[in-house]
Amino acid sequence: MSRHIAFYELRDALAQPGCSLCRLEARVAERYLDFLLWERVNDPDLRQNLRRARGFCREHAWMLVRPGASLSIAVMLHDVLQDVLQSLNGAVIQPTQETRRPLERLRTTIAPAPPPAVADIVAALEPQGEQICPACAQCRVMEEVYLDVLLDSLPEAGGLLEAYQSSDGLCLPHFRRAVQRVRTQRVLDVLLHAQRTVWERLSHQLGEVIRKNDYRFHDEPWGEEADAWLRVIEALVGAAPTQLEVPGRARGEDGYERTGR
Amino acid sequence: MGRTMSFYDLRDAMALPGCPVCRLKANAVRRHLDNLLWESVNDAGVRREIRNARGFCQQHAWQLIEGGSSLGVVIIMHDVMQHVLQLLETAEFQPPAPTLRQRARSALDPSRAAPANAGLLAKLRPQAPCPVCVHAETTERVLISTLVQELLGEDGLLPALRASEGLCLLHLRQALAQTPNAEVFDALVGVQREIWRRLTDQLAELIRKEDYRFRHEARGEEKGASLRALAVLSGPRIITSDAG
Repeated sequence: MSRHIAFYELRDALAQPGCSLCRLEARVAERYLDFLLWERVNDPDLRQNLRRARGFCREHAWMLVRPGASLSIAVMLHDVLQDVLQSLNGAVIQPTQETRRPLERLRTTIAPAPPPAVADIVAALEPQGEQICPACAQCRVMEEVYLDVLLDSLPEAGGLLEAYQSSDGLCLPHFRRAVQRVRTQRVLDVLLHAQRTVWERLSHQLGEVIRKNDYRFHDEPWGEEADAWLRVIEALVGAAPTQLEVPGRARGEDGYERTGR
Repeated sequence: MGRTMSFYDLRDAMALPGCPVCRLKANAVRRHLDNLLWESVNDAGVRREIRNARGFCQQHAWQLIEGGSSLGVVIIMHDVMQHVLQLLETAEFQPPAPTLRQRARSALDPSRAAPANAGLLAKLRPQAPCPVCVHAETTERVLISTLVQELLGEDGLLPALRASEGLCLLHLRQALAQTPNAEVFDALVGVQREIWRRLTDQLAELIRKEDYRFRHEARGEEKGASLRALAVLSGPRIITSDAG
């Protein structure tokens, strides 16, 4: 049976600690940003998207920082900042009416929004249209590919089920997105069962951590539950932002953190 | 004139690098997390809020590890995990129920198929915002409100803001949304334009000095301009210790 390359990437990622989708997305982002910094800085389409997005999101912005990247970053952000400055040039506050209609007063009490006087300038400073961070856009595309390959492969003979069950499973955000894409009862049952197995194991380990913090059991040696407090954070919210140093974890070649256990 | 603590905090923060509101918001978040881990782990109301939020957002969840209380983290997260597992126990498959518009859209673009399992998804989604985000946003609103109210006038914040690295784009938008009159608006936009023109010039200088013809020139204040521009447009690095 011919396999998509994503199948093998998923299989390898499932053998590593943490959420496999987070790991693969981090790699996608890292490769995209590296390529961007060295090959696409002067691409007009990229630059237009970046201007409209008002730059990168916080996570991917700081992933750009690496030796030798200051010129590329300066070129791209100089462009974006110039665009923002143009929005500020000639910005004027619109005169407001002294008496506002009761319905309008009620509306802004319930759902505060910029007053009409400044709404235009505030809107001009926001990302334009549906434009999002270019790196986020790339990650979303690949996320869908990985999720579809994972869901297709789970129930198959020789598929990813065994690897999934012995992995740390998906984090909750990726699990929700996987559930959203399930199209059959069978696949949902397999996915739920596999994920419950993983999370029940983690939950048990958390119980052990709590128990061993009881003074009566404090001298018991620590086992696999030792880093459960870090794994549960990843299980509920996904991998740590790249800017944060996580104890016991070192950054791997693909930019993703590897646990030191 | 009676001043609030926020006024003095803002004035002090403007003497430090970066957006003063970002800095103060980060400090408020760290204090809040510290208080949570050492004082509120067993507070029933707090725990219910956290369960409803399905934990915290990604940034604030990982910032918990800075608090030095792994037991506190475990107790909170164990509770959330148990709750999520309970939700999975009653999960049932639900095929997508697309509207006519969604069917047409997914026929044209299969990658935009209608979501399935709407009931389970609805339960797994956060039912409330991250409690730390709520606290951070409240702090942010107070700071922005103080900034615009105390910008002008005798001993106002305008000179300190002018001498600072200014607000980031996000906080400028929020400040503009709260400006009460044209005078404050003009002052705020004026000073921010000055600061960002200076930054843009520094970026241009950085780019110029990468040209082989000018490479021998010594670096000046443009050093670090790329990082400052990143912070202005995308927000600061996550600060995980009290910055001086």
